[in-house]
Amino acid sequence: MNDFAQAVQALRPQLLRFAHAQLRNEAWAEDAVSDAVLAALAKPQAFAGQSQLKTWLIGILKHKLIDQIRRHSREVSATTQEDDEDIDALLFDETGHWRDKPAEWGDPEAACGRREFFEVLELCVEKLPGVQGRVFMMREWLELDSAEICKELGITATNLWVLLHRARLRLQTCLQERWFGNPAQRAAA
Amino acid sequence: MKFLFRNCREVTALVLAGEDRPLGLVERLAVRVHLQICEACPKFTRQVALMRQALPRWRAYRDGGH
Repeated sequence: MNDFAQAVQALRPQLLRFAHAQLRNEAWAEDAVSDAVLAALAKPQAFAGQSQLKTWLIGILKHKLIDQIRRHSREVSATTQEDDEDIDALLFDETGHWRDKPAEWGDPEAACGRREFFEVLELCVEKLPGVQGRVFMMREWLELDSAEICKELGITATNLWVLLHRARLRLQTCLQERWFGNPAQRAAA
Repeated sequence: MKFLFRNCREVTALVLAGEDRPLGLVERLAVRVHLQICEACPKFTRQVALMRQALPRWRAYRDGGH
């Protein structure tokens, strides 16, 4: 194996983790990563050191992930019912008031300047329940717009908004628990 | 006028919906009215704004190698 092929193979575990976070399915993630690695090895001249190898591979992987989502769209959207724990009911009482008032998170730059903040954010995204996680990552990581996501998954716009609403609420709750509401961890991180 | 007065759960839903679709005129007004009289929801709105700034940087962190 030449150096280029070795460097590509060495990144495989990381690509697999990313693919799994997006697809939430082992077999599909394996397929997407294999497709991406094959495509990369087929045209090493396309890389030509233009950027970091990892960044280049992730760019290829993103296309392969969209292919997988397309291929399995029926199965992906068939599971939209799975996570029904009502995050709204946990946060609001029957009259629609906050059970615990939201906290002041302070200057965005203070959080965004910390690498550890993004590690916590990453963890919170990966903890999102299946369908919410998939849809949220299609939106915020693959950067697909609403119409594309609805088309690929065969769901309605209303359906999509409900899923994104829950995902965003969950993410904020997770960040509150693990970062903003946890100064000890923030200092130690 | 009643349509302009929403509770925190409803306003939170509108603020989050605003991340994914344009809000209508009545929706925007209802949010504005509520934010004037509520102490909690403006904080939530600032959390949403922080997330909006953080997510593109999370993407860069994720894709750029760590």
